[in-house]
Amino acid sequence: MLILAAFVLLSNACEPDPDPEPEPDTSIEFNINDETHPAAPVQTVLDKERVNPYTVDNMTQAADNVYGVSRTGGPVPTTNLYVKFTPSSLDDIEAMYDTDETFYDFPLTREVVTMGDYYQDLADDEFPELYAVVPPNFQFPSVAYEILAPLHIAPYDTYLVQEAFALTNNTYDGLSTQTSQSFTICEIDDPNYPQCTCDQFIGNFIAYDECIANLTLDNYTDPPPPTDTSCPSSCPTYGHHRKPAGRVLVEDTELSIPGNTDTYEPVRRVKIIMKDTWFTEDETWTDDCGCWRINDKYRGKAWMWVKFKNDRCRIRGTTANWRVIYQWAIAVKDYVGVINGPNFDNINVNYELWADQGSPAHIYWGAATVNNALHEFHDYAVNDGIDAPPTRLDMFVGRNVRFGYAFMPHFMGPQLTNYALGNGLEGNHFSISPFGVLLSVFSPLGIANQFFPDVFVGINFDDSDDLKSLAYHEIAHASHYSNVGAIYWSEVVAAEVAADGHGDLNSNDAGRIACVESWAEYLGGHHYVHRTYGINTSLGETWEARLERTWNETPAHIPIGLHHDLVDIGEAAIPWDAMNTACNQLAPRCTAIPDFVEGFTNAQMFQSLGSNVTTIDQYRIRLTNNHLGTTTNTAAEVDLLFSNY
Amino acid sequence: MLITSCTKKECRFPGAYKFTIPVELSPIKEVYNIGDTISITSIFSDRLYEEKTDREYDLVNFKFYPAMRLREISDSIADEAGALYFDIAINDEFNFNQFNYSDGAIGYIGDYNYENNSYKLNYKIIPQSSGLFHFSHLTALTTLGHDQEFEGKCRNVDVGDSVVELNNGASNNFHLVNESPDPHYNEWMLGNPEARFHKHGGYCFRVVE
Repeated sequence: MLILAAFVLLSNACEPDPDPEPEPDTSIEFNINDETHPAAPVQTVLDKERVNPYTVDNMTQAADNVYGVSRTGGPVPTTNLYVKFTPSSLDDIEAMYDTDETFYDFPLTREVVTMGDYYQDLADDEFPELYAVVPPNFQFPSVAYEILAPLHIAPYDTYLVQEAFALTNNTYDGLSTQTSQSFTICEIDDPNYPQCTCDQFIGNFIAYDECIANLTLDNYTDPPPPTDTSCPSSCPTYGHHRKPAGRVLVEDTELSIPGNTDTYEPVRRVKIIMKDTWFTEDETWTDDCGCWRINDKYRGKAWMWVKFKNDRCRIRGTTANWRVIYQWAIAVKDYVGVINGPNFDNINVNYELWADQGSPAHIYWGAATVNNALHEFHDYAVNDGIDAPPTRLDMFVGRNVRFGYAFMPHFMGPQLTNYALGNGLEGNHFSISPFGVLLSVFSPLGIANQFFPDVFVGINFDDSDDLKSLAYHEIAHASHYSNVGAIYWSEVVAAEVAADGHGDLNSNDAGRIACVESWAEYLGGHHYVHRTYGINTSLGETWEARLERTWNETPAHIPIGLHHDLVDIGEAAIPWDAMNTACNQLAPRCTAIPDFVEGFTNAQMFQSLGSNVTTIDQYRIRLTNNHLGTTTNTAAEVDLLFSNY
Repeated sequence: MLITSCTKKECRFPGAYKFTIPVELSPIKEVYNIGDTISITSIFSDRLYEEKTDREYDLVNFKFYPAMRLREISDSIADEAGALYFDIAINDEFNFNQFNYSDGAIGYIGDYNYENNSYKLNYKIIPQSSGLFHFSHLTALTTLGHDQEFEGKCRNVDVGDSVVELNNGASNNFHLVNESPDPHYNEWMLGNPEARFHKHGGYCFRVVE
């Protein structure tokens, strides 16, 4: 993870911006469905190349001019490297992703006329040149690169940078009220606070640099996430209008009121990127209340992105049209827009429900909802005592389908993945269909090897609880993977690829499919949806109620309702004599299920679905042998319940 | 580079199919007396209107998984077993039965009869106790039977959802949800009446002695 030494304030090299004083209580709203977000991806427009003021050579000259005889001589130290990468394969892109660096597809020394979603026009199989600002000790991935310039990035509001800009004929609009090296009282209201505390060292470059460095270390101690589940009505800031802060929210069709952002849900733990017009970028993450803040002052214009990436996952996904292969491989990144100061401390991004399938609004709403589903699953898993999904999960949101899968290739490794996918994966296979446009370039197996995520979630939903149901289901698979391991999972994938889905009672390895799919549909597809939504659902009843009406997925295959019947109150305790009828999810058949079992826990069931359990009957035996004694049930009651599925 | 989707244009719409199912409740009143008979009738042709594509489809021998719920909503937490305060009269010709949920809720579930290209289900509810009630008649197509086929159906698009149009889109005493102290009704439902009340055949009424 890169956090640049981000204490440089903003410049606009070409057109000096008026820099009015901040106005209190000013908020900036970016709503996904308004004019701030175009209906299709927009190309970045650049203007002329600018002379780089931050090169070590230029900054050395500026230092000599400013500090004169007090300088110890020699070049100023290199604080960063401006680098161009030239990836030539998806493996290269993956290697760059692993660095957690932020890459831009336009040269940072060009003037930006209009910031967009992409810059380079590429053919199908081309990869863009990517630019980044990295620390001098950066561990370069095995990707072709060129160091364009060693940089010395000093604080913007300093005489050093003022002089550097003058030497390169760039317009400088910092230190606007100071005409000489006179010092002002450095207090929190000073626009240059806390950097101005180092002004006492001006003239002694080394001491000044150390002072700034120490400030930077202190400033990047972000507060821990809130410990309770309630979120403040307004997000915390760093106490200055020029220090960016805000909140990212998503409309939940069941928990929100359309158009009322006060009722939207926080988007948890997504990356926020702020950047000035040169080399300075700040990165942080939203907390569990969707709040974020950056302890750095901005001036003039700044650009902002939201990237769906954190330590638990990255979420990929493409909009319809105007996308290149490369963009199928990278995390969803929303260019939010340009913020014209001076107020930066109340920037709100709202992902409202989408209207046009495949639009940026659709992808961002889907990514935000799936992102939240992952974090909620983590919370529920801790509470239930079951395994969380593996971290650094590679997820993909598919715009035009309503199904998902969890093949987990990055965790199984190439050998097991090829074994699992190698037989029977054809171009019309359901798992390939979301990537079908790539068949003109790749074989089905090539698509699988290069693009298949660990977890795929279709997002063609217009009800949040429906989408969460699918997302939780697939994430439940990832959690189950943590329990059973790669070899077991490769057999799951092989069986489902061969069956072109979940198959039926006679499919190869049907017992294994029944174990994993029934568990995911119970835990994720219904139970966790019920925890999130309770009685506020799109169904007209609760997801738990719907679960109680669910028998198998297809006749005698995938007993979705079984797990809930192991937990919920037994029928014998219900003071009515009506028999409860449950129906198969996909086949039109229903039955009455006598259920006298209760009291098993999610943890016990999860433990019982270990790597040596490949049939529902083995599940019954292991659950009974290991956990029956903790309940009031008899083995006969448990056997009776299982026999009815 | 331009990559175009191969999905047919008529298949590109948000979410899933959303069929409209007509239901009539009579007599329409705000206040009923104990012992009054309220009839619920749903009879419709198998040629059904679909909202997303704005056209009709032939749904032959389709399973809609209808369900009825009655909730007593005059307390701060609604009583999900509101059906206990009614006599429910269902003709033997229909497969529509009481369902006891493990959390104490009570509903009625089953299916329509399909004969002569027509779907039919009717039943009566007769209040036996006073109170403020929320009735709903809904389908379970989102989770049950969403992969059923019909002519003209787009591949990869689920049936998914349905709108129950009760009394031809009348208000169905929606204003009475304001009188419930339960925030599920006086806040949540008010936040989006179409999706949270009307879509599921919602109807509110009082019963007095």
